[in-house]
Amino acid sequence: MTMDERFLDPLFLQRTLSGYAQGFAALADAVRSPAGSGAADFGAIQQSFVAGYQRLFAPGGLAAAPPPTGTGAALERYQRAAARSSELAASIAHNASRRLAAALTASGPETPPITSLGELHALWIECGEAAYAEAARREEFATAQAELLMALVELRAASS
Amino acid sequence: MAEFAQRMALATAELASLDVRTEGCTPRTEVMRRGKTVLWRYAREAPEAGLAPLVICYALVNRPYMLDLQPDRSLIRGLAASGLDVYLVDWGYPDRGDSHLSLDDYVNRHLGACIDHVRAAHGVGAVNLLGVCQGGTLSLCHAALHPERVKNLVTMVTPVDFHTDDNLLSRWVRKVDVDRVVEVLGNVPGTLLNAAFVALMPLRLTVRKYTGLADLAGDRAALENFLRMERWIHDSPDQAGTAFREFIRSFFHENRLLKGGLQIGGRPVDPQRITCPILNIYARHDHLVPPAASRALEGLTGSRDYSAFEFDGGHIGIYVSRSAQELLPRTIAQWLRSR
Repeated sequence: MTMDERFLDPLFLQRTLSGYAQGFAALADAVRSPAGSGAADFGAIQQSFVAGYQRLFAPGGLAAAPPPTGTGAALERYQRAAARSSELAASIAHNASRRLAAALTASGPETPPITSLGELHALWIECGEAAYAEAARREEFATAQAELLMALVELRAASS
Repeated sequence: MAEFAQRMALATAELASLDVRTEGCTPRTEVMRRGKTVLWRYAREAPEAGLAPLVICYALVNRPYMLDLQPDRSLIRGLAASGLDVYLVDWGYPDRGDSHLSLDDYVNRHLGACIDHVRAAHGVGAVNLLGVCQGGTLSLCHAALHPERVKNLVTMVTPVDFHTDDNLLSRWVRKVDVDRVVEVLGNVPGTLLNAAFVALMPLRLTVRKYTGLADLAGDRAALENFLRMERWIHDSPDQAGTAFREFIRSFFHENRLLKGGLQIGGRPVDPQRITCPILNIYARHDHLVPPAASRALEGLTGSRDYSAFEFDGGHIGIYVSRSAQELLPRTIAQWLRSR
């Protein structure tokens, strides 16, 4: 393979960009208070983090194809690994949204108010990366990532 | 939000109309080929500096045109403009028929053949060797196994200690049963490695990058830069299974270059056998090869002439940032001239 096949698809980049733009719009909507109450929708903010992280838990180039018969044990292992990874992604997202909530409600001379979508987005990224970095250094994260990869490999082995 | 959506739509449409070249910009000639490995010679852009030719050994992961991305972002062009005779080892795209290629093949046979070609072409006993990222690790191994072939060694963002506390990639990789991965997959997909690299800083390397594209709408040059970088990022060769397994086990799992006991092709790789001058360049904010992983080279070899240069940037910025274009070719060329 000479280049990631997805990139050879002329619509790949456009679809990717569209996905991130939609995520940005969802974040903006969540913070703009969907019910018009003036309060940010932190459930929606958390969901925006979950969506961002869950993209990570399917190693590129090994996406699980529809399993043929005879892959029962491998499929079960993969499902367990995927579920564990989703748990971790949700936990990181929860931490990230808590950080963002704290940052948005903080006040004082060192925390000027957010006045633009760009600033909000930068803060979202900062909080998300901080929560992720904290989790990614833990043994349980490395174990879950490795198990997901190995489960995908075994699924591939069982399918071939 | 509406303005953001408009700019994003505009940038996306503009991107679709662009067609950028990514095979490099400095004139070059293929001078040797062994298997998928190609040795390129670049046109010198200044009077000869009177130095031994410089052979650049890039990593097996990703493509080396990052070093020659466009005229104003090209380490290779900067080196050629300093009067150096520059050669580049391009490992190509291994396919299924290459899954048996080992570190012995890459380090001794392929890199060795490239260096021998340059030595013969210039009538010199030893070359200047510049190893980049994983290519630096391979270059260190080659220099330890064949010290007589290397006059001066420059390592750039090169991992030496694979077990530093801040090496996230290493923490993850150490949990992977690489034998089983290679047994099942044969060659290891480049897309898999890409996913791992992006997972180091996922929001910055995906969400921020892509939403930031809206700011580039209407700026053709910036969009072309963006597209070149995207192509490079997605242009990840599959990895020959045997060499990948050996590299992961010996370096990531067992950290043998630092701890000792490394063998390639059945021969011990002893860094103490490297006695030539060494310039070790690393990036202060490197998220992929942390500075501590590179700095571990100091004192590891038998060289009495060791210099280090800390670049104020990251793993990508060291190739393509404006400051890198100004600093790195000059630093390398001056260091070589003074030896």
